[in-house]
Amino acid sequence: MPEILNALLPEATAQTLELMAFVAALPLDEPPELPPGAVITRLRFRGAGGEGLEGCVEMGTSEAFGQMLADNMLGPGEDESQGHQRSQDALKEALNILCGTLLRQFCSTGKVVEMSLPQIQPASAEAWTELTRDEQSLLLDADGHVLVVRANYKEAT
Amino acid sequence: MACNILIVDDSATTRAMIKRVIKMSGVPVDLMLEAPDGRVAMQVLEQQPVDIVLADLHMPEMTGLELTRAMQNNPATKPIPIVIISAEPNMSTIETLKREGIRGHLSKPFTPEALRNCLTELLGVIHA
Repeated sequence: MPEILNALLPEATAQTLELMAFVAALPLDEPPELPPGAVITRLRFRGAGGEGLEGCVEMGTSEAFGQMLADNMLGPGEDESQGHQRSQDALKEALNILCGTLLRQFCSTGKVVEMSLPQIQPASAEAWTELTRDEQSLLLDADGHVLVVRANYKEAT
Repeated sequence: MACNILIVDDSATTRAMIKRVIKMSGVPVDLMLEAPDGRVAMQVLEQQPVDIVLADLHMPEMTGLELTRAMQNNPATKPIPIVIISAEPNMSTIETLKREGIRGHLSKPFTPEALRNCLTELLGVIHA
């Protein structure tokens, strides 16, 4: 039943970006091409207390977007050598907050979930294509940067 | 009256983000202290005067819940209010934390105004 999460995803994403980093996002009409420095950040969640569900929220973007988030959240970095780490930390924090916002609404139905720590890795062309061509994915232009978000879960029968 | 704030989070980026929001909130701060987990936070609390603790929930070594319990079990730290700042989605977890002694909870993302209201309520901070 991923449609429940997908219905909540646009508002949760907009709220996270705006409050966390003053970033506005607009929908894209076409799947975006693989950007330079493409990364996919994933956070998995599962039911707690015997609830048989598991899911994942994914965020595909570029390291440059992570850098912009970090600059907006923390101010411009003085040490360029820390730019990569700042970008990755900002992307992981953004996904953590996005998941919390999304699942808080999801859990208002009485579900209890545990979230994992976010994991980030470079996006292969295949993984990028699979993510961006999925009809469930939210395709966004976030202040000039490509941002693709997808949420999924399944319940054990 | 300016206050001393201890920020406890395993992510240096998140600590920096919270510090920035505190500055944006306009709350007068004397000392802004940091710790990467609950264990280090307890060491800081033994050495520095702290008016309020802002802590993450999920941290290595000692979680926000364990830190709350440790502070509640120590007469010297029991009066210091602790506020959990987290992306925790489950209200049942927040209710458990309240029973354990936290004085407030801020869900990420939060606004400078939300933080200011929280600090004002708990400390009676007078804004500049």
